[in-house]
Formats: sequence, C-alpha cells, structure tokens
Amino acid sequence: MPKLNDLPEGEYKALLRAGKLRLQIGPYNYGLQSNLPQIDKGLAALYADYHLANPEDFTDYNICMHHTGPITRLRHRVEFLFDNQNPFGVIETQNAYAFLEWGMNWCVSIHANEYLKLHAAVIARNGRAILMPGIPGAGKSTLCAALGLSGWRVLSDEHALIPPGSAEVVPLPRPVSLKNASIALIRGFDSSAVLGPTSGDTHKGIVAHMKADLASDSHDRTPLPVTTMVFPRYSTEEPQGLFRRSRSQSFILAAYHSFNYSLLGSKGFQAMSTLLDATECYDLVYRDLDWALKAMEQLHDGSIG
Amino acid sequence: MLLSVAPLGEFYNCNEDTTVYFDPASGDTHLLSNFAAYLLRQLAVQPMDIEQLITRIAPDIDPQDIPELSRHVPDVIAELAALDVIAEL
Repeated sequence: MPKLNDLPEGEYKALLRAGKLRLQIGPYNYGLQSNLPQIDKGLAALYADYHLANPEDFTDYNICMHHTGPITRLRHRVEFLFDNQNPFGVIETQNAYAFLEWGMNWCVSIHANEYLKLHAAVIARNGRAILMPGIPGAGKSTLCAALGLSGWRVLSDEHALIPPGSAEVVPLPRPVSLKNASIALIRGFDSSAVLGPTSGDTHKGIVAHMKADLASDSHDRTPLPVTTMVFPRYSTEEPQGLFRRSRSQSFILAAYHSFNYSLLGSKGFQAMSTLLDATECYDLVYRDLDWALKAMEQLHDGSIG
Repeated sequence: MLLSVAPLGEFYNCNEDTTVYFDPASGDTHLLSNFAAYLLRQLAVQPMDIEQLITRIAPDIDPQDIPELSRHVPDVIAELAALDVIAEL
C-alpha cells in the first residue's frame, strides 16, 4: 500500500478535509478528518511513512478534529470527535495537535480489549521487545525517544498490546509524546529528530510529538517476543542504577499500569502470568540520558543484569 | 469462629518469597507472603478455626517453630480478612 507521503499535498489535504484519509497504524485503521492547518502539518511530518489503509478494510477509529464554524474559529476553539461523539468538550486551537494524538491514544485505551493493555513504552532490538511501563512523568517517553534515535525500534510510546496467552507484544507505532524540558533535551540529543507542532498550554504543560517510526521495520505488524520489563524512573535525587526486581512485585506494578487488567478479570490475571513468566524485570533509575541508553544496551546484550 | 475461602482464586508464584493472588469474588489482585498463600490454600480445603488451622499445618512445620507460628498465624489471618479474601462463618 502507498504511504502518506506518496500522496500529492493537494490530494492529502482533500482527503483529510473530507474525512477520507485512512492510515494503517499497527493492527488498527484510523480514519482522520480535519480542517486545521496544524493537523495538516503535524500528520504530514509525523505520519509521512505510515501506510494508507486499504479502502476495502474496516476503519477501527473514525476521528475528526475541527473548527465547527466561524464562531468557534474566532474563539480559537476546536472539537475532537470520535464516531461523531465529542468526549472531551472544547479544546483550545493551539492545543489541537496534542489532543489529536491523545485522542488517538484514548481510542485504544478504552477499546481494544482483545489485548491486555499496559501503559508502557515498547522498544525492540534484534527482534526482542522491552516493555517500559510508567506513570506520566516517569521518564519513559524521553528514554523511548532517545532509544528510537539510537537505533532501537519504537513499537509504542503508550500502549503495550499483549495478546492473552502469549508473551508477545503487538506493535502500535506512534509518535513519542515529549513534554516540557524533554523537548529541548531530545532536540539537543539529536538535531535531526522530527518534531510535530508544539502545543503550548496543555494540562501537561508544553507538548510536542516526535516521529518515531525510524527503523526499517517500524511498520511490520508481526508481534515480537517480550523478554524484559523495565520500570524507568527519572530522578535527580536517587543514585542511578538498574536493579533487578521480583516478578511477583512486578506483576502488581504492571497490573497497576494496565488500562484493562481489572476489566479482563481472570483472563487478565492469566495473561499477566504468562507475560511475567517470560520476562526479566528491572527498575531503571536515571538522571543522565546517555547513562540510561548505555544501561539499556548492556541489558539487551546481557552484559549486565 | 470458622474461616473459609470460597471460591479459591488463582495464584502466581515463580519461586520467589511472595505470591500474587487473584480473588475471583472481588476481582482484586493481591501480593501475599508465601505463608499467607499457603494458609489460604489450606482454608480452601475446608472451613477451620485458627486452632484447627494450626493443627492442620503443624506436620509441615519444624516442631520448634510451632510456638512462634501459633503467635504468627492469627496476624496473617487478620491480614487476609482485611483483604476480604477469607470469610468468617
């Protein structure tokens, strides 16, 4: 299938205005509609290498981010629609791109219960995946972005999709959400990093998303085996280190970081058990990004841990 | 007072000193000491009071540890009761 950047600009915008732009993102097809210039620019920058969905295929998530009319345009307000429903109320126009990304995440977070879903970044190298669950602010996205810029494959910045009964993760590659100081940090880390529109006044502060499908196999939809679970924690007050943690304690923490563990009940327990059986677990405390990258590489190589 | 577990849930243990327990009645998941998980399994066999429970597990325990165990079991039972994974009949 052709990619987004195969489309002439005029056709791309026409499809987006008409709600006929459909992208294949991991196991899902997103239908997208917008009349906002920052959405035009953001999608063109961050999703350039995503495949267009086959027109015959089902669209899993229909999303619209738009001005509803001249009054909302003058008031600098937009709305996010999912299947023509507005779950978030009015959104300031300057934050539209961040909300589009969050809305796309939200679709998966509240649906997709065919998987055990962890709130986690997922990266891989040599066909082996590492899950990095963490609360917002733990430093997982910053680390994920830096790993993606250092040759690792980014499978997700938000959702680890685990098919129950397996110790595999289904890739859901999306841009990495960077917040506040992390934006300048990543720009300084690699000046070639492609960042989308900056949203300057969100409940999370300043937000920009980074193009993360940088590996040649970024859009391969084949599930990868999970070998390791790392709980990253950015801290300027604790000593840096990579510490082994027990599987049973990690089970509880991973369940805490799950979107739907409780919803799945016994099936969720069994899915988590299967995942943990195959997974070595660690805490990663870091304040220096280069140190953290080296630790992750050594962990992957088996030279520490 | 008899203590019971019904229904007994699912356990996850990979040779560590703690066990994860899924309680099907509440849908909650708990991290238990292996000893607490062991007591839970015993109570699932049949309802027992604490004395009966200690008598039941005594053959598995070093005799010199039984006095300490007798003091410890009520505390563990209280913790399991606080988690609502056992019921008093």
